[in-house]
Amino acid sequence: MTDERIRELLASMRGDPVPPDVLARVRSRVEERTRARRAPWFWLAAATAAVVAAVLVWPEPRVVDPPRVALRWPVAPVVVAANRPAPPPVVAQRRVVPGRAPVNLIRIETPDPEVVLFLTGE
Amino acid sequence: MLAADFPPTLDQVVRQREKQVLRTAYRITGNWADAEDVAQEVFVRLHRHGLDFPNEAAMGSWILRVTTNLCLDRARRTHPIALDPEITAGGKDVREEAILEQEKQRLMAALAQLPEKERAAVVLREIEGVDTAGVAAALGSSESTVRSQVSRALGRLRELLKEMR
Repeated sequence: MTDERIRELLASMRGDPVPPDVLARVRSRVEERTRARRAPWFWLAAATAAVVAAVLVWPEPRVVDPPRVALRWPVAPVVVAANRPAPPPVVAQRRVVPGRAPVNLIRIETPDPEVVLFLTGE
Repeated sequence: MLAADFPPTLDQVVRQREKQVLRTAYRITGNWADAEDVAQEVFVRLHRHGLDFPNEAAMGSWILRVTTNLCLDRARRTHPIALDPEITAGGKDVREEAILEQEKQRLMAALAQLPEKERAAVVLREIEGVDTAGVAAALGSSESTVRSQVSRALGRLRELLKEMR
């Protein structure tokens, strides 16, 4: 067989048919495998979209001020000045009953402690 | 495919390229079962890679390279390769077809005895009609290497066919 004939034969193989069942199997397996590979991408994209949506929709967190702690210093003790003047004595006010004239009362003490004389006058 | 249709969908690429991928894989591996595995792996890898090639030629070159590499991996593991019976196109005279069929069977048997790279070079260049630059890209070698591989392979085929008579 010459090189030319070999080349002719080889070239004629280009048009050889491919068995239809082989074609069908390749198509279905490729579809199956690429669909299976598509699923994680889909779920990843969906999860990302959900996170983005949640971030956009979620209300901004309020910043809560920390409680204020007032510093309390101990109260200074009251120092009473030594030369402080004594408070004025409380003078009992005589009650005046309205409508009646005031009554003068004189007490007279006798040498006998058992006997005391009272004199009244208006 | 029109430039406007580019990039195509994976389904479109499968329909457009499946026959070439299967035929090439079948000629290099020698059987349809391996060719099937190679073809589906090629398209699954294409899907993983993505279809955003600069143009159709770049995509075709990528598909051819992956197909060839997968076939060579398999061919290295299973040597000598197991040949399936040939399937021929109908429509010719029965006797003429029987002779052609016989010649093809012998040629395939001789092809199966070539080293993997020489076999791949002959399949791509002489059967699939890929230009020398394309074959070099698919095999990861230079154009001059491809030319010498094809020339050496044709010489060996001639010798093997002579021995088979």
